[in-house]
Amino acid sequence: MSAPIRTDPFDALDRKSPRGLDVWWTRRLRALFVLAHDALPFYRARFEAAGFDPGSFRHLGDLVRVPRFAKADVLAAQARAGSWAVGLERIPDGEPVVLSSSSGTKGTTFLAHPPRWRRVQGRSSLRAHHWAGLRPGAPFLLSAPAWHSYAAVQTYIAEQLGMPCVVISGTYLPRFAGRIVDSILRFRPVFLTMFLPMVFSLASEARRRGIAQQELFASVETLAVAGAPVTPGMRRHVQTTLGVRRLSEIAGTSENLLAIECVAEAGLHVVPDTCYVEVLDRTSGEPVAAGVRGTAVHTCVVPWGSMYLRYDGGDAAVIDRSTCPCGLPSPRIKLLGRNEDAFVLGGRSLLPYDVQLAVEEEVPELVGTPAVIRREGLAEGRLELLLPPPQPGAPAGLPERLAERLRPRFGVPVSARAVDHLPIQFKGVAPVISGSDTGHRPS
Amino acid sequence: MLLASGSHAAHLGRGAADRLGLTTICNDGLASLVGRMTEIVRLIRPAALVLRRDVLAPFAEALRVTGVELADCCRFVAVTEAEDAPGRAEVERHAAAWRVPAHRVLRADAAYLFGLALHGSDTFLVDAALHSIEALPDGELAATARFARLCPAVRYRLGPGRVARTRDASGRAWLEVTRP
Repeated sequence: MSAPIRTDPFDALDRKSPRGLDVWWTRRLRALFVLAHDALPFYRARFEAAGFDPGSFRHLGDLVRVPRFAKADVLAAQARAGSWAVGLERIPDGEPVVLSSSSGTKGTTFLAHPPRWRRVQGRSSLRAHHWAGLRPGAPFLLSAPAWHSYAAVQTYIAEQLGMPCVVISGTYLPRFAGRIVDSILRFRPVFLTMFLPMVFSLASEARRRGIAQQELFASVETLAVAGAPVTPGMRRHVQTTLGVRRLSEIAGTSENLLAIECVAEAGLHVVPDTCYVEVLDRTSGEPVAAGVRGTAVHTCVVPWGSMYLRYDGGDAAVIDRSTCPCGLPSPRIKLLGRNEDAFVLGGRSLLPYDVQLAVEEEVPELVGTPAVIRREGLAEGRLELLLPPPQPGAPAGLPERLAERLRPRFGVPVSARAVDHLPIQFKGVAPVISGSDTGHRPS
Repeated sequence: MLLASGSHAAHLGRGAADRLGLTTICNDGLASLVGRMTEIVRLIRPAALVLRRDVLAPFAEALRVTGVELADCCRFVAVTEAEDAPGRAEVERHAAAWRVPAHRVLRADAAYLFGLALHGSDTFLVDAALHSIEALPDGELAATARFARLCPAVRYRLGPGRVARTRDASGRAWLEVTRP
């Protein structure tokens, strides 16, 4: 009989019961809301406009009374203030801050990180890395881009564990893949964390150099990936082709939503001293049932720096509050993609994740295969997929078989065909791209 | 960035910006991110910018398109070049357009060397307490870091140039490096 899969607790917080953790969160959130009302103009105005009295917050169910906000609200506040500081920042007098920024896809917002934030957030992130298997010893390859808040945290973790650090000139983008490959081969990290799309770029660079992918990742026991949802098939594909023992998925945003996969691989545990996460129905704003898709709304519990309280970051998510075999008490979430990337097909709202999952479930030979969804097809109510040229030795007729299998699954016409070149950087799920970007005509 | 902030360099402790009590932000130094750079200028209003030379042209274009005025907030820019120094003409052309003084940085990362040529000057000043620089018979300069013990940098070639010693009004010693 195999031993139960348990996560080695980081400290007493990890040993709480789910109910005990809810009590801990309730106290922390109440204190935060009182603090926000008293000290932060952004929240005082919103709380008063919504008629929310922080002193009346008694249990987690009261969260529905706390006003939510989104990036558009911060952008509007920035525009009004003519400044990055919009009144949601708690910065001790005289402390210098490091600023980070949001991804910038839909406008740039800025977050303040005073030293106290770094110490508190750093310890919480250390907990998350501990869950994922990081231990002192081998060198740590710093991978966070400097504009992201994680950059200020990753260094803290390395310092606390006394780990030698490798700073790679450039950044974790495909054009610098060669330098990262060199660093992995030279320093042989045991724990490696990076943006999921970079994994594909590194694998590609290894192939180009004639280095076996398993040789490149031979030292890596845990590969922690962020930046894109991982389907079960993609997990198996990455683990098998790269030979890493564990793949741990991270959900981490600039605004400090943080969840990480435990050793049981049963979802991403919310990191309790970073944030509390709700998954809400986008229309009603009410919490959704377990497994039902909604939008992730998180409340940072670190009482320093830019405090994001009930922030809707635009991520589609599901939540699972059932007991996890790993023993950690916090609920598990899964981010499935951006709400703005959703499309309607056969009367259902879908995400690229759903298509990637369908591809690997219906035709297992296509697990790990990058695909592109043509936007023009969606506009006409059909699913049109472009696939890369078949791998040597692959069975014939896979695109046709895929189309045949996907038709009943989605209830719409489906076409799939291989093309000579996919003009995309694969990010783990099939992107939706218009024909002018793909350079391919409809089939 | 590595030497500026302890938050971005593990085991550094306090970086230069930390010691000065400055607010810092790093945009990752990519030309593709100049759109965010103009937002940084508009909303954070930095007193100083450190720019890589290859970002100058796209950044200038982004400023032009957005109408963001660097001179409204920025007291100076410092321009760097990987393992080299940017050319004076290119830097001063942008400085004139932006109406902001632009200093040039001489970098030799493997020797931990940092020199600064103030706006309008051909001479890079290097702290003589941190480095020695010698002229080699072939006309090149070689730098030795006085402080590096774990990874010594001894007689690291900087390329052709001349070096002279000087002292400032406080008596502090500097090396004056000029390059062709």
